[in-house]
Amino acid sequence: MRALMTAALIVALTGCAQDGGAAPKAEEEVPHGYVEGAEEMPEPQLRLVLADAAAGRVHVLDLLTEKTTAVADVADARGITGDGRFAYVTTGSGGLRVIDGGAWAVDHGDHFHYYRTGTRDLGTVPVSTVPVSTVTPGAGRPPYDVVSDTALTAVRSGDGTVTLLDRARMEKGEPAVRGAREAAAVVPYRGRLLVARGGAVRVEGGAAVGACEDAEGTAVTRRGVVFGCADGALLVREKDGAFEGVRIRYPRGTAAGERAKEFRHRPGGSTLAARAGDAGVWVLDAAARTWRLLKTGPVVAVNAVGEDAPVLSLTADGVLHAHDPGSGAETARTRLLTPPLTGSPGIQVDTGRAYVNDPAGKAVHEIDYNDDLRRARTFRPGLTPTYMTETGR
Amino acid sequence: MSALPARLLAVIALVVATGCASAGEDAPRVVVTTNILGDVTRTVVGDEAEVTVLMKLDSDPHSFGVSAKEAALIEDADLIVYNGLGLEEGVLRNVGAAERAGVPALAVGEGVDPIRFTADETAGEPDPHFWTDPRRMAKAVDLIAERVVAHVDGVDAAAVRAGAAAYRAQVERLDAWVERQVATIPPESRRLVTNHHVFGYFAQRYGFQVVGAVIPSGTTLASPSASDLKSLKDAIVRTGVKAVFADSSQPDRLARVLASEAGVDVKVVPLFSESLSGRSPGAATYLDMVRSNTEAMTRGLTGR
Repeated sequence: MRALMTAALIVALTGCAQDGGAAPKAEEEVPHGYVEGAEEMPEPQLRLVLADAAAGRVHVLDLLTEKTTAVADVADARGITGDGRFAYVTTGSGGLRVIDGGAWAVDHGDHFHYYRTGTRDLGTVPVSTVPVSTVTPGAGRPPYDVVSDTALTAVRSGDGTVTLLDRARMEKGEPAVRGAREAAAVVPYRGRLLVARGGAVRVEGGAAVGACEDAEGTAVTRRGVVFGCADGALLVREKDGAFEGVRIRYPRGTAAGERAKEFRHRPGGSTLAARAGDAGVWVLDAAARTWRLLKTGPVVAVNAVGEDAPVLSLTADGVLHAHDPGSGAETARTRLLTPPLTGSPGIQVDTGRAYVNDPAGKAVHEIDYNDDLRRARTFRPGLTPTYMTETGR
Repeated sequence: MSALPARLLAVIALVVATGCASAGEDAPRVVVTTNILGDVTRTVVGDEAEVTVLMKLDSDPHSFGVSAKEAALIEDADLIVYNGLGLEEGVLRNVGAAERAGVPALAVGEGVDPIRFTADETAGEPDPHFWTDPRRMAKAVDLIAERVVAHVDGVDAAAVRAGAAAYRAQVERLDAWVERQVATIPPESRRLVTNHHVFGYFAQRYGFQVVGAVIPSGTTLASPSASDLKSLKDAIVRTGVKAVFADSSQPDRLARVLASEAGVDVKVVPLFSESLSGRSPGAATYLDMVRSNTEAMTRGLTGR
């Protein structure tokens, strides 16, 4: 009996010694920088999400491997927007289809981390059936405008309802609605919601930070959040938890039809480009807080690389133009697409290259904007890239 | 008699349960943040205490962080060993909270006479990457042993000091060996063209110059222009080096492109920088890592 007890104790003690031994069990430790199912990479993992409206297909083109992967069948796509990781495809029936591009970058201030994982179709987000009393059920309809921070994604529908999605759950593959608002625009920013409504932008649950009539178009930059307003832009900045708004007015004599309604920029850049009605291209320097109008005439698509780097625009004749944002002078041009243009050609920009989708040519062109708009590569992804957005940046 | 086994089992079960719980709480435990310091600490401490290392192999000390379970381990540690000087951004909050709650913590970098960055926006900030200088690591070995003896109850002080002395001797032999290897590189060739930012201490110790350069990444490397390669080409031409030391997903392609597009003939050699590795051979331990890097630099810069 005593011998038996002793034996049992030895078993117990050695058992514990092993459990508490030096070798850690890999499956028990979940390091924080580690992202489940994701691999950290030494360089940007850039991908393009391409939607073919006629064929009803969405593919992802990996810009490093040059391989194209089918991700989803989406009938009647009417537009696409992205937030650096997820692509949001608007459909004719009013749905918002969410595609995880499987590549993203995390900004740590002075350096970035780059991750990749598999692509995934998250299905259609129920933006039109939000159970919020102020929102009419079934009201969601395109066009959608999507803005994200690390916690929330805000999807604005054409009817003025904004649906908030839980980003952590989206990253696990589950689109989940966290609430809804009626507003001209909502931007999740640094843990708060900036809401444009009734001629002003306010921090939700706090004070107004600035006036903004007819808010339309938003952009998140390192200098703050830009809201497009009737008389200019409102730049909202945060410091030590306090938000302040700075108005950047249009130059005198700007016609109402020329205001910016949709901003484009390289993520991380503080120079924004927007179409200025038929007059040309607006360049908003969020650092210097100035507008400049490039009198190019009507353009199909625009984007901006950043400070002291070209503003890119595509005209209906298929020519891609580069302008110096400081002087406004055209520095390069190249015939890229064959008119008449079909589909929705756009320009995406990252720190190395720009990409232009060419629906009629069933191609995507990679442009070296530091080398006189040299065409670096042309991809033939095997579908018509009616719409395009870039992820992994 | 038939009832006894059941009671006995119950007793055994109780012993097992309480025995394990108390072993988990009471076993002397040192928690170390980075895997480089983890290797050093384990070697110094031996079996005298349980050493838990938070940072995985093949990862980045700047970005890794901890789970809730690991955070609890930090709070219950007898001693925390961390690099400090701003290296472990992801866990500094946890370490700070534990320190405020009274857990002893050793910021090794602060005790080894750190040098300061001289370039760009970080100028004047202390450089946290002290481990590339083995002499500073030898000093770190003593700091760790002293703190373990002072704060971790139940360890055999003589055993810890003996472990530290033996390991310190190995690190000093490593330092002398690196010095002999470096002596085979002509002084004018001791230049590291690199996108790594960790070799400032190595350079100071062994008389190297670090030359920073932008290394083209995947999409620009696919069809590069002169402007994509300019920073790197200029650094190579200026220094006349035969090898550059860069993290690149396509080192062979980078070398080919430099030859064909920029007319410079160099090898592209990877180095271990901030993490021990389980994937790539040559950096299973701190000593291995320094040896591998030294051999790679010596071969690359002498063209052997």
